[in-house]
Amino acid sequence: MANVRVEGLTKRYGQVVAVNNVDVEIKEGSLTAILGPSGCGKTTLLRCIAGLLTPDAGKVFIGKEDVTNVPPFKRNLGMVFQRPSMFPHMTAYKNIAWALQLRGWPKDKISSRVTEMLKLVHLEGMEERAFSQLSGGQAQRVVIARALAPQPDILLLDEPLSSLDAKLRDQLKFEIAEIHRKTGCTTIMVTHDQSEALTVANNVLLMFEGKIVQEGDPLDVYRNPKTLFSADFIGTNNMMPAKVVEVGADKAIVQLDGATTRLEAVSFPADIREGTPVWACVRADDVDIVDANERNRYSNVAEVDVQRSSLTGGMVIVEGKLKGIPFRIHAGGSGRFELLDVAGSTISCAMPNVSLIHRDQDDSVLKAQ
Amino acid sequence: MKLPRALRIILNIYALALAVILLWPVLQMVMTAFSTDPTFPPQHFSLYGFREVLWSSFFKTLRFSLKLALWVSLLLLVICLPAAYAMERRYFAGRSLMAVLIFVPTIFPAVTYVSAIAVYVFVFFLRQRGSFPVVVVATAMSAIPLVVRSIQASIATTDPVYEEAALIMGANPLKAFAKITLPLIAPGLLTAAMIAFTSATMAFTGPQLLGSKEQTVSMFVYDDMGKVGFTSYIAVEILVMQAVVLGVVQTLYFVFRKQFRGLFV
Repeated sequence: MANVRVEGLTKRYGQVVAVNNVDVEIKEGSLTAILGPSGCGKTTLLRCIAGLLTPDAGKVFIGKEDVTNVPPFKRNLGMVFQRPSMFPHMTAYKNIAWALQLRGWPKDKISSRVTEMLKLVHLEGMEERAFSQLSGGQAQRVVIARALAPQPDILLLDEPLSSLDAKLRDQLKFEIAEIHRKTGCTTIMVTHDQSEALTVANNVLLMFEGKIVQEGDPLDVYRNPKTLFSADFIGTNNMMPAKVVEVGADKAIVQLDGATTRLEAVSFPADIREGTPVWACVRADDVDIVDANERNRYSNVAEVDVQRSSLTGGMVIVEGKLKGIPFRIHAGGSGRFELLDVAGSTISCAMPNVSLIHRDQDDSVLKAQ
Repeated sequence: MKLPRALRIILNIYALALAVILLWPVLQMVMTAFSTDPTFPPQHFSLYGFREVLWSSFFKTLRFSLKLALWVSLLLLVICLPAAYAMERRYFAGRSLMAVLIFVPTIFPAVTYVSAIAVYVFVFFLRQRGSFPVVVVATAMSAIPLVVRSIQASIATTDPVYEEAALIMGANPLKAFAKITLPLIAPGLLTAAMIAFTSATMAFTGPQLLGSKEQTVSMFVYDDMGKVGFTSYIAVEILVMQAVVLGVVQTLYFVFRKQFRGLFV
């Protein structure tokens, strides 16, 4: 087990800068998710850490050792790939045993370690199965067992669930978290699926256009977006243009552009001043629908003119406008079905968690998403 | 899509006619081998042709052709495997040019290319002309494009992720190639070996032009046919030659298949 440190890492493909001068430290024993849209450079960063790509600039440290020029077979890593990588000409047992033989494990210990690893991934009794006799999820579990068997310093997961169907993906992501809890191995998982990252990881690195734009624990990254991209990429955020009218120690008050509505924000950049143009961000699933007569009991209540509402199963999506600004609510709970016939009416919404981000950022990310 | 009944019947007859036209020469040869004369239908059943073949130097030339084919196949695999791997998996300056140049032998008619090699050998390796190694190398040269292409296709269909996984697991590049990539491309190698083997056993004028002291079986049969015409004796020679070549190729296939079961569909 070790930590990973990346210093000024840059990797280009021709004219395209895939990873742009990235500095990051991944703590020993953590399960870190590198989250971002396709093409943001997350897999390139992981492959540089693995040694499968050589960076154009910068350094990679595993523990205290500079491994930038160390070939992958000398880095003591485990890796699970996006595409199926269980060796099809070997049984599950041989796949795992070979990993141990390569690291020089004594013969008498290999058998018991393979059994232990198969048990860890719930594949007891499947030692002699070949790739063609296992389901996609089982084969991926063999690869996880194979990666962990020789007790690597770091476990790298490159979108390990994306080739599986939705239900299996859901099941296996909890298993990955469980395996990490049991082994404590420093794990870096690349994913474009925010629910995967937020569920499994205890540290999230959000990447966009080759740079890490935000880092933090999943709740922090979810609730307190620091950039326009973070706000837009994770979850569904209502972004309302506003201006700061008052800044306090633990809250700031903003007024929506073209309206008299004022909102209190609990999360905001330290450098905002009175008059700073900002985006007031409210998560679609962080909105409470309240009785208009009791609105004084809540803070940040505003009226939303509902245009349509639709059922997705687990939640009801309500779409409308708040002072002319498009506004979306994801309503859960047993009362959600009553919202299915509110189209055309006005509802009162309480927004307990408003966060602010600077509005002078390039808003092309909004269009790109 | 359901075709009209009349069209289906016409298509069936057409397919059958095509099969008969293609197979007829082979059937005629087999019938002739077991009779006294090349007639249809065969007049008299006879094993005369087989007895004659046993007395001739046919088997000596067949043995030479098989020996030549074996060495040519081994040499081709050794030469073409690294070339195909480099062309498929490595990016190097001149890669595209090499991909074109390697196909040069295929743009010439076979005899022209072999003649060119014969001239080359005559100019630069006159002392070695006619020796077995020179015949092997020269015979192998014309099959290089086909064998490289065949191996390259099988490397292309093998996901590089297996090799990367092996590297991460702690195998050095050579070990990763030997233990992972090589078994995975085994079916393609087998196809390549079969192409190499059959093309070399069928080597016709090449070895003669290169001054080989021994005759290939194809040349022997051709010579015989020039002397006696198409008789049951010639039919037996062709039949035995084909049976032996197919037998060797099939044996090779079954051995590989057993060795790498699970990879053959």
